[in-house]
Amino acid sequence: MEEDNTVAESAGRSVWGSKLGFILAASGSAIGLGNIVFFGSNAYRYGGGAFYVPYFVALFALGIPMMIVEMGLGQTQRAAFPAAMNKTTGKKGEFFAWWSLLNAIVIAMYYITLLAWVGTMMVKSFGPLFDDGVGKTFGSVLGSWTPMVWVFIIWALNAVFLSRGTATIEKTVKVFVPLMWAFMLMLVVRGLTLKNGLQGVWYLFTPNFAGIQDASVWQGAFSQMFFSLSLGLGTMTAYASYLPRKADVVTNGAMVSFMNCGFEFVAGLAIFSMLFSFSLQPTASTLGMSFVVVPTGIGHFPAAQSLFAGMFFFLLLIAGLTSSISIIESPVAALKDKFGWSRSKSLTLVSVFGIAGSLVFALPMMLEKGGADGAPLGISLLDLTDHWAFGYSLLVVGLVEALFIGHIYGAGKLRVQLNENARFKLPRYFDTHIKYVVPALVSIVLLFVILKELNISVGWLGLEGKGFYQGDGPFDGLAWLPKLIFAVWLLLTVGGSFILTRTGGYEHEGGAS
Amino acid sequence: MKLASQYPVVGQPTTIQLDAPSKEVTITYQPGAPIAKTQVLETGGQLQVQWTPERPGVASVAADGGSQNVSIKFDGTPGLGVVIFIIAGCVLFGGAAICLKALFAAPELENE
Repeated sequence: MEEDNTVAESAGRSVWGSKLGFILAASGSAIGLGNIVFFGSNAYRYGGGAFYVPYFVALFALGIPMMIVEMGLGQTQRAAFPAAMNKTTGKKGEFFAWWSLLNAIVIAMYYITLLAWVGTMMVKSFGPLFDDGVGKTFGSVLGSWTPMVWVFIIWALNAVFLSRGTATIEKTVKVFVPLMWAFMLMLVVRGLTLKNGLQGVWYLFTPNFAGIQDASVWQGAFSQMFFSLSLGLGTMTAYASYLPRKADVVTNGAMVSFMNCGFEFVAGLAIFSMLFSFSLQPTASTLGMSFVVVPTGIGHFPAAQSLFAGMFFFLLLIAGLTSSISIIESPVAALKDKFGWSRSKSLTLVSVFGIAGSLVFALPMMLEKGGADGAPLGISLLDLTDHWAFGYSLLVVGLVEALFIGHIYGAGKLRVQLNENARFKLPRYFDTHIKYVVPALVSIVLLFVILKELNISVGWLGLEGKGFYQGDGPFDGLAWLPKLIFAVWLLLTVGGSFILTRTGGYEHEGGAS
Repeated sequence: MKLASQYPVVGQPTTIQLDAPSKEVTITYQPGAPIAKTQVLETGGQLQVQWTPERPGVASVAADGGSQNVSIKFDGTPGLGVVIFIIAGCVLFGGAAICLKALFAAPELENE
């Protein structure tokens, strides 16, 4: 392999310039906003150190095996998610892969809106962030036009980082991922040196076993693992499709999973030491933790609050960017594979739709003055879209992927292919695990999610919008909104997948690509 | 409301000073979590009440006049917490180190 980052081409497909480049890109993809704040929030809710029991079970039973399957699919087929699923499991598999990628585009739309808010808050860090309280400042950010400009900036940055495929992705992650770790370690040192900061660490790790007796804790840990590793989005398949044929996917998959969870571990130290020192209560939402709780804690620092706040938001920004480029690369690579388009054409198309979508998510917040009146439209649009596109699609795709690869393509066939180059060979049990254990685990998690969603007196919470609007009140004059969001999401993703599956064809099918 | 210490220690009594009379003081350990636990202290009409924290961590102390959060310290270093911290760190970073070593022990692959 060349170490100079030039784009190596293999049968028209670019490949990673170095092993390190792929590891940094894949781990940067997995480590996002959620890793920084969401793990700590879950650990707080579910019994501190006791949460590590289901968390480790989830890592070894679900996270690493599915990571290996997703990467293995891309590397063995040398194709993005839909083409790889088409080659291995036929049109039905391709349909679900497109569904996953269309959900990925929807997720990229609001994820970049979040990054636009992060960018605005980062600039505010060196100005009036703490003057009226962080919550009020965040409200004013949401209500301003500045995030609209940041939407364009973030999409432009993504386009630049993806412009030359693996070459530019690699250059980006070689700067951003080490920087991310360095900034996080600085926050850890600052947290631990706060008054009673170390007590926060003991608080994080000391188990309350009452927590893990509750089934929802296990569901929380398994969901966390799936979402944290970005499984079911097709991102790892796209990235692994640029690996050389003799790359060791088994070790790479495990490596990326460990690095992702290791980052959560370190982030937990930083967040918990600060929360304990300032007696702050974590919230269940990434939004609340990222934009209010943690910055409020930083505001209590004895000195250099602006510097640390700026560093925290910059950390969120680069963690978000390394994830967003992978989410966008996934459909870009898939469109190239399917229609034989150039990278710039695919990227332009995805970016134009993406910018429009990101503005749709940012605009209502601005019109509603950033939540001064509760922001029913903005909050519910974001939360409900996330509820369907993120909360359901990843799990459904993960389930289908395990079933299709396990039973149609054959888990054993994939295992043999991967073991050819693996330093640590997958055991025969891997086949049973992918065919039966993973589907069973994901089905149970899905069942829990559905049971939680179904309320006897209300019906489907997501369709009624209950629990998605501040104050849990009715959607005054907007009762139709949750159903409309669901219908639009379903129409766009399912309808789009149907069209994309039926249109064109791949070379291996004798199609026009 | 004022607490004798912002960092009371679990199992060691501390004093809560109320600004206004309140029938009771409610302590919520790990507020907002599904495993939250509530402890109610009867004030007997007094403005001062003794409280012995039962669980370490963040807790909310609420009375009629308002509420505030407090961080309850461990009584010493919690052995189990230290053990889990070490095991979790070793599994995650040890796992990553083993994989890294295995990946870089092999020569760089040629692009076909």
